[in-house]
Amino acid sequence: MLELLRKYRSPLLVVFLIIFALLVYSSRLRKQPETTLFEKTILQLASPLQRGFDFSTARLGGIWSHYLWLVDAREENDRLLHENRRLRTHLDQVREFQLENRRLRTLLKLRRQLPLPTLAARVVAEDATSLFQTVIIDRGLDDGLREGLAVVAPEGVVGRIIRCSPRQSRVLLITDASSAIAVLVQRSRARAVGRGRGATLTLDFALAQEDIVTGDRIITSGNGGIFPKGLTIGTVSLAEVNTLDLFQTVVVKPAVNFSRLEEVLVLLDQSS
Amino acid sequence: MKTLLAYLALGLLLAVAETLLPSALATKPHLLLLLVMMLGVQQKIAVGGPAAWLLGCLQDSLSGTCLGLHGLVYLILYLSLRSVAGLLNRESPVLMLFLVISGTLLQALIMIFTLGFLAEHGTYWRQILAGLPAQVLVNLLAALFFLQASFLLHRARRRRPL
Repeated sequence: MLELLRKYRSPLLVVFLIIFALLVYSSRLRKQPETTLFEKTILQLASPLQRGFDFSTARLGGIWSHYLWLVDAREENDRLLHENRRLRTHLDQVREFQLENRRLRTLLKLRRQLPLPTLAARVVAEDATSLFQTVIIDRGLDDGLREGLAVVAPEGVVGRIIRCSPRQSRVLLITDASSAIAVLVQRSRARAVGRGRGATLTLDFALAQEDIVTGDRIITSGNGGIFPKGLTIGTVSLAEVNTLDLFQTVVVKPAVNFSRLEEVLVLLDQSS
Repeated sequence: MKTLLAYLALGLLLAVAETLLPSALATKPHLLLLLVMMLGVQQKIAVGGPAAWLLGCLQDSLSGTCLGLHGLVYLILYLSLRSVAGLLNRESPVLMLFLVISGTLLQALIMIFTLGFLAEHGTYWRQILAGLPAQVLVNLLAALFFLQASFLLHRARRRRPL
């Protein structure tokens, strides 16, 4: 028997190997999702090798590309600098659009609240002198504007149009010395006339016995026919009563920051 | 046993090298196949047979196939090569390159047969056939590289003073 095995050792080994391989493969076909001990061992053995190779190639690649292969580095640097500048400009524009979008949304909200039809306009220039408080908006006669129309912003009243050209209008701010506007103290309903004083307003004809205190909110009274009733003018920053005077001294801080005014709404009358 | 372990260690290194080749390469060289062909030419069945099967299993462990598929394929390939090894001039590099070409083709055929008849794995045969010319070329290049490397190694050894 042993003699026979020795004689046919090679063919028997071949047959054994093929049958064994076929058996292993067919048995594994039925249990595919399972990981065998052999596979686990091979993966365990390969893991440090793979990591080592990967680390070494990454390091060598890094050295090569960062310190040796610098042929295109200058051109690439120039290109990236250019691209960086372009992207920064683009980013600034996007930020500006975001802010503008936010402002316009607020303006749109105000537009829905107002009883009159409105027209949005952009402030394109300020007054040439520091004495007068006016701004120029990019809408004019062609857009249906005319002198005397009220101009508001989401924060409150801006002023009224005093000059109109076909494509531009000049707006007199409520802080201008020549501006006078009929107002109400929202809490006590005291009446007065708000007159511009450059950066602030004062309340003229506010009787000494009227209840006005610092922090009171001042709104338009609706008298005069230019501004609708209830629009915010500002808040009282100083209220003083002199016993000898008939009227008290009241200083109002406007609600609108005129130095940062960019978009406004012009209140059109029904005929416009 | 030592020879078997040495082949397996070398096979593990080659298999790991295969896994590290970037996947962007459309065709990766079958380095283990080259090793199996070397086995077929150099080693007897007692060592070469189990080694070829284990190398195939090693390949299966590091790829997405079922364990034993490459084992069976490499074993059949080894046995086929072994059956004609006695008739070949093992020192001829041109013959080795010819063997690589025919071995790659044979491996593809065995693979198609094994997948198609034993496992019914859909349309793998199309992919194997479509990639076969590129695979032959890549394997040939890899074999040329290894032949050149071994030639340089031999020359360096000969020059070394005793």
